[in-house]
Amino acid sequence: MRQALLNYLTPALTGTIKTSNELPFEQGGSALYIKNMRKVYLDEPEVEQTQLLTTFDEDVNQNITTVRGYLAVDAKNRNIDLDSALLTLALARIQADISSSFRKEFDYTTTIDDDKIIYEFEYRFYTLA
Amino acid sequence: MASYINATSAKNRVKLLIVKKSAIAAFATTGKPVQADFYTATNNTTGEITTKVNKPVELSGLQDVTINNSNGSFRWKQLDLSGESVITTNATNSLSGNFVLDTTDFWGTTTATFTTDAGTATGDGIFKMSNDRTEVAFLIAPSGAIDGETVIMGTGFISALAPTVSADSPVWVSPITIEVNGDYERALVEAGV
Repeated sequence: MRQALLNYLTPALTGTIKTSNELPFEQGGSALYIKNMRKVYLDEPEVEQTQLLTTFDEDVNQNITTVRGYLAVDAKNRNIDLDSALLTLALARIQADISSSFRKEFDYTTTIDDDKIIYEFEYRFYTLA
Repeated sequence: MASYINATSAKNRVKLLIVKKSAIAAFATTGKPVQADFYTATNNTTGEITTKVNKPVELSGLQDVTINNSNGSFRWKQLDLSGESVITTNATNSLSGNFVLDTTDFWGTTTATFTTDAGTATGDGIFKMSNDRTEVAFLIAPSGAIDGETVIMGTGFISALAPTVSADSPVWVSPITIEVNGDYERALVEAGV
């Protein structure tokens, strides 16, 4: 699902904010998205299995696949295309080619670190297990 | 200590088997279904029904089951008694529950190219048997089909199907009722049935 998101986001983000294929690992004590501002980093998916319906034989379960992403931008000089980039990030929830999911969710939070504003966003895709 | 009817462990799981009444050749002479009309071998370790007979639908995805045995009653008052007298009359029997729809169980296995099971419960599926008002024979094993456990059998008609799906639930679920024709038959599962 991470790759499906990147497949949509990479050509869709053509302004000052772009994507990176790398994982948001740390380098020299600093996360890559802090070091390389205005680049969207997607983390490896995490999968959680929960019970959807109980039955006498095998329960009906769902997998919740969570993909977290990070983007740091300059807090002093707001990127001119930041709003459209955030809209594109939100649209990826439905535009990315993830047809097996019956529920798709997206949200993000922001934190300010010195002169940077960090967007931490999360995609959640629900599929039948 | 009480000995509860166990329906939770793997081998004791509730099982519901449905065959077409017309598939039971001996029905004309026995007048009632017997275990051998549904299976001839079960696994006492796993609870699995290993040898099925008459191509039954072993309904999967059951969420709950209710065995209804509602006797009717006739009450009267007598001048020499302070309380009413009562006598029971014919019972209304039915088996009801809810299940998650399994494609094969619901629609049957018969297709334009696969006709091996045509005309059987497995081939027709739950929906067709209900829609065609086919008389069925059923066996319910409240605590699994393993030696020493009790099973209940009978004949009747499938009704009350109401498959539903919602935005919150990606799978179809439906209630099901078997309107029982006559009495239930009780039997113990024995080795070799």
